[in-house]
Amino acid sequence: MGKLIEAVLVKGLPPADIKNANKVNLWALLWASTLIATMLMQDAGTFGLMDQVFSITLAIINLLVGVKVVIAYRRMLLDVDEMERAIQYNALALAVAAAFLGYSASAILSNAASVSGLDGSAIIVIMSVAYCCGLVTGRLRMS
Amino acid sequence: MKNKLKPLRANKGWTQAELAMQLDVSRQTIIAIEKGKFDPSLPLAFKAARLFELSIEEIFDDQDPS
Repeated sequence: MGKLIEAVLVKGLPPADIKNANKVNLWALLWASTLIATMLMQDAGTFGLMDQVFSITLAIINLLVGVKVVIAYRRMLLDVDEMERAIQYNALALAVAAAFLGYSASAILSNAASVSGLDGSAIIVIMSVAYCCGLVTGRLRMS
Repeated sequence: MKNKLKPLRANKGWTQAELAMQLDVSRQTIIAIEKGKFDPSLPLAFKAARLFELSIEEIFDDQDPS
């Protein structure tokens, strides 16, 4: 149990790596917030006649924040401790594989009319869960 | 890959955290290398070799133990 908690909390990383990881987390949080805000505002139709302009503006803001997430994550990967980098790469590979397999399996099933296909948000959830599982299992394996 | 990092570190009287700091990696990385669960990159192996004033081959052994 202790090892699992250490794996989740990433204990022992150098302060510079923790600072970089916190930057990624903050940008990701901001990205998720702008995404939710954009969706809610679009649903509510808050801006009346200016709806489309505001929707495009919010989408651009969300995109720009998303680019900052990618830049911050790339910087973190370049600077991070080499074992943690290897764990991150494995987790990313697992996330891509999970998305690929999940999507192809759902496409086959929907083709067979058994279930409806996965939408974009489900793919993002699958990738996120696989990425988190990859990080934790990778850290546990190395501990 | 087998290595002699643990006895070398013990000879110097360093803790894992102290060695990690000198090699600019995390303590977890030192633990994993000592246990043979993680193979260091070439730059890190060179860094360790310079630190202990040994050759890479004297610290790391890529021969199969069997």
